[in-house]
Amino acid sequence: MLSTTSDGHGRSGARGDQHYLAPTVVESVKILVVGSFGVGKTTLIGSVSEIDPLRTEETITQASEGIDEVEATPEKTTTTVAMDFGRITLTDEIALYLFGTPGQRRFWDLWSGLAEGAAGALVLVDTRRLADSFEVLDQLETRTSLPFVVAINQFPDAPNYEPDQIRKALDLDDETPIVVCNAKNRNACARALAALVRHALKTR
Amino acid sequence: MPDAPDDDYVDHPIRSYVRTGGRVRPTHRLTPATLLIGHISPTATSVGRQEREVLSQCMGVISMAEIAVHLGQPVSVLAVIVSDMIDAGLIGIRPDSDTAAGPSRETLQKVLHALNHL
Repeated sequence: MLSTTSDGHGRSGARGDQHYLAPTVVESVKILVVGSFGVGKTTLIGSVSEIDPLRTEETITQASEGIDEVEATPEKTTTTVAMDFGRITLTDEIALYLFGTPGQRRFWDLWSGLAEGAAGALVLVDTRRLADSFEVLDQLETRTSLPFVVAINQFPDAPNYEPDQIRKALDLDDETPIVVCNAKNRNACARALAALVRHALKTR
Repeated sequence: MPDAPDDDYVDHPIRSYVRTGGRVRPTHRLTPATLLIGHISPTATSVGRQEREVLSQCMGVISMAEIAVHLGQPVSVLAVIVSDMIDAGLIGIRPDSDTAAGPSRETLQKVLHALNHL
């Protein structure tokens, strides 16, 4: 049964009965949260979203290029891509949508459509697996003109690199901001998003 | 059964217009962050089951992505249905939602201010 209102399931705080945005909301802005699998995209979205993160699924029908790490089945011509998202009502008139997508090449069909009109991209990085971010950054730089900020999701057992070491390892421009963030912390996530919007304003 | 037999006797141009006829390209730019609002009640007898389901999710301002999740459909499929519903005047788009040009400088400043105070 499809429900037209959320019953909130006993959650407290801002996440209550919020099926709809306020009727005054006329504008939506979107930010992409990109990064490799397991880097904390959905956690970050959940930390700041006023609704529980939702997941949409799209099927990409083209043959996926490269090798699927999970199940290497060459005859497979459709890939189901899940996209997690959340929303925050920022003013009476503006709602921010956060879309978490894997940034790998084989998801590009879904990703390119999402990038159009986006304010920017927050690239979540796990310092234990820096190399996993190469392809995501490469896709961002070559396929879009989106302003982006690199946010280090600081896992407890991760090595503590200086931002300059990260910049070098990821081959980032001097202008690309690097912020440290804990995806579980609402304030830290809000600061990372603010850093991205500040950067986006500078690049215009 | 959701479709009352009486529906079939309503002679309304919407009835033929909403059939997608196998089209896969929506005629409006509808992205996951496009905001919609329904213009008529989901209980109106002039609309079919498919349109009624969409309208039941659009009784306030809500995004394409959310409607898609609530209806269990991919956004790309929903876009074709919603596009026809817009043409038929059943649903409206919030024009400043997720424009191709992206947010204005003024909007970004408001977003930044709000994030700083979150």
